[in-house]
Amino acid sequence: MNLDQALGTFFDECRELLAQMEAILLAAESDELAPDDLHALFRCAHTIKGSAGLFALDAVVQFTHGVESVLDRLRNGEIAFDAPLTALLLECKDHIGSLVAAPAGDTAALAAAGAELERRLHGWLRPIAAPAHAIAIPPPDEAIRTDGGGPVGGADHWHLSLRFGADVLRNGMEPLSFIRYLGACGEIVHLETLTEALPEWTGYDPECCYLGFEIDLKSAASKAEIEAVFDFVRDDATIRILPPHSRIDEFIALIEALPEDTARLGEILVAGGTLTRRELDLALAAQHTARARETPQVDPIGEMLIDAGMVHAAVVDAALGKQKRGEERRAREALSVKVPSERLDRLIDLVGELVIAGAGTHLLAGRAGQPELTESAANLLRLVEEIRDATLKLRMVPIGEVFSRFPRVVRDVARDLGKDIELKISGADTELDKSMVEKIGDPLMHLVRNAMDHGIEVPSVRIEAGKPPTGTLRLNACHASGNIVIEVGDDGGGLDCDRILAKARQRGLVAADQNLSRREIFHLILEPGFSTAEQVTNLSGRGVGMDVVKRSIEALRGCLDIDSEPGRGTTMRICLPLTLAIIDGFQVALGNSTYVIPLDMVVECIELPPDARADYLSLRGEVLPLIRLGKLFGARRQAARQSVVVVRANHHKAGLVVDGLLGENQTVIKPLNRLFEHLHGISGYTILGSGDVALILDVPELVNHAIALEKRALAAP
Amino acid sequence: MSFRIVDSRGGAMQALLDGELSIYTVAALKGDIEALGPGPIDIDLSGVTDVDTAGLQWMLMAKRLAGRSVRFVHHSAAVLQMLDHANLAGPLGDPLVLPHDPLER
Repeated sequence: MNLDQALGTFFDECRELLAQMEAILLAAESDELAPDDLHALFRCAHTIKGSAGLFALDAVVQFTHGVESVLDRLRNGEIAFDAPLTALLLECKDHIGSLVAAPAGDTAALAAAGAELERRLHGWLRPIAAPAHAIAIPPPDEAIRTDGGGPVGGADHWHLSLRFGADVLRNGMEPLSFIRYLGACGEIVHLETLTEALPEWTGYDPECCYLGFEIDLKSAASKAEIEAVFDFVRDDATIRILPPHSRIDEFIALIEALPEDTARLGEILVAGGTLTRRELDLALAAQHTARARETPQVDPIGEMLIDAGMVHAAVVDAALGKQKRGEERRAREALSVKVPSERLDRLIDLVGELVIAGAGTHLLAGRAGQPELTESAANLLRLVEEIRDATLKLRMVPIGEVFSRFPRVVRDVARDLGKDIELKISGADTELDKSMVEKIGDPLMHLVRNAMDHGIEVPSVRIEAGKPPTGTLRLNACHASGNIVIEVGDDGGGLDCDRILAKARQRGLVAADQNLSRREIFHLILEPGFSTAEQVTNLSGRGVGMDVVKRSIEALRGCLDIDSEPGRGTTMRICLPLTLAIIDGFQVALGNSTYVIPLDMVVECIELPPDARADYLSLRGEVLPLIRLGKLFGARRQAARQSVVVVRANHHKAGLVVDGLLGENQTVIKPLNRLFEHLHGISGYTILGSGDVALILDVPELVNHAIALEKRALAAP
Repeated sequence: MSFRIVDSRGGAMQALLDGELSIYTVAALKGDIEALGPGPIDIDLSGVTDVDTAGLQWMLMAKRLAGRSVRFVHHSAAVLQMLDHANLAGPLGDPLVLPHDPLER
């Protein structure tokens, strides 16, 4: 196995586990945790420790071990969650994250931070006089008790029987390194390698595993922890673990269950000090009696353990639950395949080329005038379209991935600001393009921080305003007409129109006599360097940011819309296209050139009435501003009859006047060279089936342009 | 990994095993040892850098090879450590020269 690749998987896994820990810890702040969650929390820390051990990330192992011990006490109900503990564990979780991220980096500062956290953790590890409940290991004096089931083994160490499957070596596992790692759990008192299963030389396959191991381990670890050492080989091995002070019955059961000669195993147990010679003889005798009695019914081992009073029922439940969850996780893993994103990008590039080539073939087939060829080409094009959709879906991920980091942010920021803020997330399963998920995180983060800092008021102000003291921050995502809409809403004070306008006039952004709509005023806050905050906090208020947010959203071909009501709150609405790569386009002709309009934005097409005015027409009684694209782009008019494509963007409609309608096609979007970045009204280009270049119209910008023109016309007397 | 006969005169054949004795090399080593003629053989392990479970199995199997008495000599530190770890020095039965450990005194 390639180590770098494995390490990459480890990092991914750690990220997921840490995110899970965070989610549980945050839930612990508001609710009592279910035992399942406590176990999950423990398991996260434990898995990180275990995997880090495999990669020899000792700092991670050591620190996580401390955290794990505290989590273990929580899990056993010896200590309970309270606010300082939750906060401490959150810090620890962050620290694990930084340790994992920078195993070879700046270790001095990390070590100092880690030592401080460990010192604080230690406070939770002090022995408590009366443990609340659930003691996994019975007190030693119980070991002397006998109750007809036979004498009791006296050794105070665990006994492990390991039989590895034939394929473990081939699967890249090394049994002895698991055993060496077991040393991290405790001290190996005695180890015996069983060679009985070795075959004759002729049947010897050097890459098969034939060895078994009997181990006596002195350890304070729990059974689950010992078991977890073998997580990676559990499917490939038979692992039996007997707790300290196990009864002779169980050793007999073990001896009987294993394939090797009973006497040999007995000798090993004696050698390891688990059994005394006398006990062994007694046990073997008891075994024979039991056989003679012939009891057909065999209790499952779990029930037997509980009946025997060896293990608390809760412990068995936990172990079973853990096993089940492990299986579920494996099942989930089996349902998904991890693919490096560059391979996916390459596939999408190829599909893009395929779409263009397919369109070319379709065009040529149409010209050739052979019905069979045309039909075949049409079939091909349909399939290509399906491949395109399926391929693009591969890159779709739920936006929940982005949302999931906000509960923590909101919690921390709210605490810093002394505000009480509840986060409500909806539509987390809305999907969007992976590349967009990566790029939308920062702008969203900015909007969320802004909403908390400037939007939501401190509790006292809220109570004065007659609102509940706890502010609400909403994160919502949904699909709407080929776009994804992400909303960040708060129920705070709302934007103050007058103050924004005053500030804008002061800064010369708006002329003193200029009239602006509410929406336009709100959009002023997106101007560079604009801030109405009276106080600059360390979070926001410096007036950098909103313009950056706007720019990053525009770079994704999206737009930002602001809605606010004084005293009721503000909603920032980000509207993004679903994908950046391929869209359905509507081709129109202007002079000799072809232009493409994203089909999602097209509402309808009508003929341009000969009596239409230059800049608007009446569409079923509604005023529709017209944009004469020929004039705008300086194309020479060719057709006598013109058409109007009615488009919708940002809740506004406009009509684009074009020379001809060419129909629908798939459009592979190619970004414009930086030279042309400043061009207005054009968002990209594409290559048509004929090999010609067609420009893609930036409809939202054109619509805004039309609205601005209309306003100017209305303002003029 | 290399396995070669350094001396086949006189009593036991002398073989030298270098490099890794692991899952990656055991298949080849199985063939190597089969290819030798009959008779006792001493295998020098001083150049072995790495041993794993598959390697230990190979040592155990070599011992059982019929018609030949295989002895391992000059165990390297890596081999000694692994034998100790797996507690296999006894079953293999070769005399071991333990490294000098000043703490023992």
